[in-house]
Amino acid sequence: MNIASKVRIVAFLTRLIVIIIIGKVLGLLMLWLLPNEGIDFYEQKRMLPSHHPYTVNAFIEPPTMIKDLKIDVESIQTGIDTMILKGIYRKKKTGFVILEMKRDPNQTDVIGIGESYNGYKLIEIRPSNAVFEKGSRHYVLDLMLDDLDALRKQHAPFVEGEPYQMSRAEIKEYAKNFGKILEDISIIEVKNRGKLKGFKITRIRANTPFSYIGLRKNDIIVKINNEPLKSYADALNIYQNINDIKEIELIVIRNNKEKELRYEIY
Amino acid sequence: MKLRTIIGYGMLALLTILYFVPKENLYYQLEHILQPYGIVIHNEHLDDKKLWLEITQAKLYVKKLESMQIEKTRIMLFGIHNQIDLQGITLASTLGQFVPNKIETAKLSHTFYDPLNITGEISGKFGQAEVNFDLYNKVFSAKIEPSKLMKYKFRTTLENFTRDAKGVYQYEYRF
Repeated sequence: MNIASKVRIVAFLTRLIVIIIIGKVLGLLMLWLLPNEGIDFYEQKRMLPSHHPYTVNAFIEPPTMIKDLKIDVESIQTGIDTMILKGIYRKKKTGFVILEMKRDPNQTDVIGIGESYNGYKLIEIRPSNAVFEKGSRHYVLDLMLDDLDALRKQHAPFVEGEPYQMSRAEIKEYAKNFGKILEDISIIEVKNRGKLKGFKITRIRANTPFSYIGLRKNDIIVKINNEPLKSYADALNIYQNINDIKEIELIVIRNNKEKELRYEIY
Repeated sequence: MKLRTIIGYGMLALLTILYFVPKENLYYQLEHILQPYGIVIHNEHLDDKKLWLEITQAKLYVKKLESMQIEKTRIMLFGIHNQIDLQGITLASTLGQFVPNKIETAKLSHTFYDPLNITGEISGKFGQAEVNFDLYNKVFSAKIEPSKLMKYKFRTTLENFTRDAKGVYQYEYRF
């Protein structure tokens, strides 16, 4: 190896070291200038207590006295009303039913005729209910109405000032299918000086659950459960948590007046 | 010969800088830039692969709403050509009401010779889309070739787009 090539190698290595040093210094400089932590999303928990609408009657009427209160622990935990009949399979004298406990809706059990569930023996399966026996008493459990059309037939008329009873099964049906909501009701945002003021109802499809619950075309929904609708996020948060809500209070603006609509979910 | 040497040293310098750049901190800076627009990336795992940054299991929140989960993101910043590859995107159930919720791949790229545009290609169960962010005019545009599923099950969403003679749907949004 002659001197010329040695010089060339040394020159190359020197330049390489200089480039690496410059790269490292730049890296350190950026490390010093750039943030050390990113942004994380923390769900803002509601600091307000859960919504409980109060009526004047509740203050006027004297509280009911409870005498000789006896709590049967077994009936609370395993009473027939804690069970939901989800499905029926019936074939002459045989068949089975699909059951679930209200406290654990994800856990379903299949019970055949003659088998027991929480101490209740299945003795008969009918077209829309099942008969159980416990301690020489008979209990009838009706099939849960999951079908939206069947539920629609059950809608009671809306009475002004009274809380309207809404079925949770029906709400769950809607919660699963956002597209169905869009089919049955149309809303547009209402803005005031660039800020969202609420959502205006522009269409309610006839003979749908929305047409029975006291809402009208051109109503502007401004509050849900005492919380103003300032963004789409507020509205969608209600939609996403609808399964946990027991009562809904809507404040709507109708003919330039605020109106309260109350709903109880059973 | 001299030009080739300069280009060679230039490439070497670029690779060295790329190697030493604190990619995780650069990513944190991007998060700070996106935050005022209501975009927050949460729960992600960062892995500095020396020449690029890999992000796994990121949840994207837009205006406090969970919008999508991205299995794998690869950010490559080569200066003259920058690219973001996304894989395994699952849209939130709310968005899933408007489009099929699975997007297999998305690629966004920005090049030195076209600095005012960010282009991208997205493919998923909805079909194929070519997107473009015009940074000068602040216009986002998309050309969508919908899949059969999109055409039949999410027809109402497509009604919001304009359709050309070739059956390609177009969408424009000013930001």
